[in-house]
Amino acid sequence: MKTNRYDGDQTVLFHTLSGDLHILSPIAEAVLDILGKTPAAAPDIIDQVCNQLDLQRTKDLENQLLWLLQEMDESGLIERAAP
Amino acid sequence: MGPFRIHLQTSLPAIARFFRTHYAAFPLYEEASLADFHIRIERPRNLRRWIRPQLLFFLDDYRPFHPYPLQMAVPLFEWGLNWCIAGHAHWALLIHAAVLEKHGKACLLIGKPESGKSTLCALLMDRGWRLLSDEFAIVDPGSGALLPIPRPVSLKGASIQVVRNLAPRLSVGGFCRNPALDEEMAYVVPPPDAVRRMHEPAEAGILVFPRFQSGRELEAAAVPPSRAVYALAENSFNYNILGPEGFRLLGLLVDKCRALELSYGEGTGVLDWFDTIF
Repeated sequence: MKTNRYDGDQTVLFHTLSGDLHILSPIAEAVLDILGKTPAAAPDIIDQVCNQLDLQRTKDLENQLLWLLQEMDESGLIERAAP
Repeated sequence: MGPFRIHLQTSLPAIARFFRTHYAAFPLYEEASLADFHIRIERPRNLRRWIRPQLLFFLDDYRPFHPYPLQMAVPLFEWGLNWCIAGHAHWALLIHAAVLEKHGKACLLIGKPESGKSTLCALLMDRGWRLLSDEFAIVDPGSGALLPIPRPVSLKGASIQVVRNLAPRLSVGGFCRNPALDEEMAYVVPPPDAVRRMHEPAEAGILVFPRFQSGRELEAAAVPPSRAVYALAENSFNYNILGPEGFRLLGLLVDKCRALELSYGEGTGVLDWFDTIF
C-alpha cells in the first residue's frame, strides 16, 4: 500500500492490490501502523491506539474502534486472522 | 493534435466542413502510417445507408460503438476521438477536466457533466486564457506538467447562447441536434494561438471544482488535499490502470496546487473571480 500524508489533514492510501483509494483518519492510520508490525487482537489494538493518540478509553470509543476494524476488514485494508 | 497524431478517413461532407473551420490551424502531415489513431467514419453499406441513415466509427478495423444517426457526424468524431485517447493513452495520467493557462500557470476545471466547465472554458478563452484542453488534463509522468490538446470546445443546450451572448468574438459552429436528448450541440473554434502553442506544456497551479446552479451566489471554498486527491481520482480515466504511478501523479498535482470548490450562478462575476486566482 502507498500513502500520501497531508499535515493537519487525513492520509490518502492507495491499495495496490485493488487500486482503490481510501481516506484514513488518524485513528485508522494508527490501526494500520500497529497491524503493519504484527497481528493483534482487537482489545490490544484499542489499547495501543489509545496510547499512541493519547485518547481516553471509554465504552463509546471501544465500540467505535470495533466498528472501524470491521469497516477496514470489509474494505480489504486489514484481514481477520484465523483463531 | 498536441501529443497525438490522428489519421482520419471519411467522405462525409459534414466532417470535412468541420475540419475546415475548427481544425484549420492544426498541421497536416503527409505520412499517415505514423498516426497514433487510425479512425474511419463511414456510412453502412446496408439499408441504413439510405433509410434513417446511420454512421459507423472504426478505430483501425474495430467498431467500438453502435451506429450513430447521420446528423451526429461531428459529435461522433469528437466523442470517438475522446474514447480513443481515454482508452489508450496510458503513457500519461488522464483526468476529465478543462485546462487553461494564464501567467504561466494552469487551472484545471474538474467536474462531472453539467458542472459548467466547458462553458467556463469557452468564456475564459475569450478573456485571454490559453486553451490547453476542453476534455483532458494530460499529466506528463516525467515532469508532472500538463500537455495541451487544444481541440474544439463542445457546448450544448443553453450554454451555446450563453457563450454567443457573453463572448461574441468566439467562432461557434458544427451545429447539430442530438436526437437522443433533443438537445442542440455546437463547438467553439480553438484560438489559433492555442494551437500554435500546443507543444508548450504548462505547470499546474490550481484545481477548481465548479458547480453551476441557477441563481446561486458565487462562493469558493478550499478543498482539503485528501479530498482533492480523491476527487481527482474519481475524475480520472486511468489512474487505477497506472497503479502506484497514477497515485504518485495525483499526489504531485495536489502538492503543486490549491484546490477550490466553486459554486456559481448566472452572470460574469465568476469570470472576474478567475482573474484573481493567480
